Amino acid sequence: MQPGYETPITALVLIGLMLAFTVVTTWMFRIQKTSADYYLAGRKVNSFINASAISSDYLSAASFLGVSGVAFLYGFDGIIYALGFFTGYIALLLFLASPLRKFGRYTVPDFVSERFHSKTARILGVIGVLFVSLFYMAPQMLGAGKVMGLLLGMEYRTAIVAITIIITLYVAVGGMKGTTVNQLVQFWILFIAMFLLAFIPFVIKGYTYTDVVEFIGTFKNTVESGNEFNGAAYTAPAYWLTNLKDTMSLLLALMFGTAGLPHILVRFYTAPDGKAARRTVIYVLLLIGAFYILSPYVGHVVRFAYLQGTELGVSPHLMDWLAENGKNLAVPVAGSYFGGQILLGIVVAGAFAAVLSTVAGLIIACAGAIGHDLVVNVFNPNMPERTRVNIARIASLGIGLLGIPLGFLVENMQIAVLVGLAFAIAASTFFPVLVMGVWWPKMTRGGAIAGLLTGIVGSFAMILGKGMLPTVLQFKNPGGFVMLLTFAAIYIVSKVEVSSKGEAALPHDIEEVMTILHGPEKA
Amino acid sequence: MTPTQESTRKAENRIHAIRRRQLSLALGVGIPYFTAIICMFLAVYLIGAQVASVKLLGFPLHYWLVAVAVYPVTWGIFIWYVGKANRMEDEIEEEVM
Repeated sequence: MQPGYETPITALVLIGLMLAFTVVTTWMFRIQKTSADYYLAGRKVNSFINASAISSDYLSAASFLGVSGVAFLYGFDGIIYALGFFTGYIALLLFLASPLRKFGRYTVPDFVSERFHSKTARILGVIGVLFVSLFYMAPQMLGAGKVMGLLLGMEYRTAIVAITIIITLYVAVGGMKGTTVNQLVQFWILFIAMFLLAFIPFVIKGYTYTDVVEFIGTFKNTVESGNEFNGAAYTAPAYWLTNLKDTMSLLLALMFGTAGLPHILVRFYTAPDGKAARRTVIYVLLLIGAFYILSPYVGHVVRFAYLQGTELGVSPHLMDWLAENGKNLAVPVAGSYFGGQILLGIVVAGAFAAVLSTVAGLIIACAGAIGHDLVVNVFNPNMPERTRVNIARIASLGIGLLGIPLGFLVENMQIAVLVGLAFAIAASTFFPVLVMGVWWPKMTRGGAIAGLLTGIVGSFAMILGKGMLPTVLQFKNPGGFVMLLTFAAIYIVSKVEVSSKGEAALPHDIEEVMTILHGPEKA
Repeated sequence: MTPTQESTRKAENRIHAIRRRQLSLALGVGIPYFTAIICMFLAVYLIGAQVASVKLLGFPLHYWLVAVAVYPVTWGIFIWYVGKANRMEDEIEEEVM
């Protein structure tokens, strides 16, 4: 623990209260009679509650800690994450929310399997869900480990183990119903935390967005770390995103990745009908939009305080936190600086709520992919309901505990950038397959498999094998590029199949499927 | 063609017409929206210095566009869209029932 830093008791009490609430709610909703209860909360969640839960799922550590963090680190360029995360819901609203709900299955692999009658597509869907979700889970663990470790003066790795155990038990016991109620509360904790982080400096201290940007924009001097800081470049475009190819690929990945995130898509199956699914997206847009206007401002105001340091009374340990890990800790620093222990407590409870709700959603999506899609539908379709719920719980435990090695693996990385990569995989794997599968009746099974393979292999190769590729194929975030390849693969393979086999290349029940996806629900 | 085949064919055509109507609405809103967002971002990056020098109420234009204005504009467009899409769904229900 750093000198001058004392464990904030008030903050710990607030976090303890949130955890106690979570335990009580989880216990109240522990009885899951059917697997639909476990995965989909019995499909009876109203639009506003569902929207709060979806927003809570969505506003992960990447949004809560990461967006302000990248704005703190990269200035104007960091705002691309807020813009991309927000507009991501539009593609979902326009093309997928209502038809997917009408189709009425549990998971994305369910959709691809039943739309194309292919076990291969289902298995590839499962691989895709695991790939996206684990990439998404890693930065959540990073955020939780850093914040909790810092708050309690705990080793990062110890914090990761403790947090993983808490989250895993909570999901394994509560399922989607318990998770939804908790997410509703968790959303409002993290929203209020972000609101206060913006309200106190903006309204009480009088640091308006205009003043903050103007001050930073004219600042050119050496900062505490000894580096030269050029405020004009920081507040102008292309400070960090210097390559247009990278910028466009990142923007496309963020804009279209949301519509391919399994833990978000599964949420739309919990709406009572297609129209309710659309209304839910509007509530989500209002809630997260308000959040994304505030969070880049918080990143900027922390930079504003950091540049003035002791002149504004920023304590030395906060300056150290910013110098060492401002990219992930700008938000807790803002909490401590602007509101002392109480706001720090609310902020850390918000960060913990963001991680808890998102990881819970990811674990449920993965448990659905393994328990429902793989074990039940591929290996044993006649499994009794009780056994299915137990399988779901065991899968949740297994996936949850993977948080430990994942958290260890990404210790020195940046939250928002890591989540951007999960968006890249989602945008390049599920988004094209779902959109074409929903709207294009001529899409064939071969087209679906080619699309899934292109998305999974392409994004895997371009993220993990980046160093081995020629420069022209190296992207900070390859999502937009691979997404276009996936669309092309689906189109070309489907066209070739239809031209060689004729109508026989199409699924035999394509007309029925189109009727379910697009026809009236009451017919 | 037998009467059953005839009625099946008609039902299929009706669903495809409905699908095309829904898709036209989604693309009619989606293509201009995404094009506008991407073009706005491209413009900010390609002529960044000029954009950054323009101020509106003391706030640089690029911040206005990317960090503030995009949100209320999006809310307005898509609240309208959801009303329209759900009304279209009601009309389709009435036609089919």
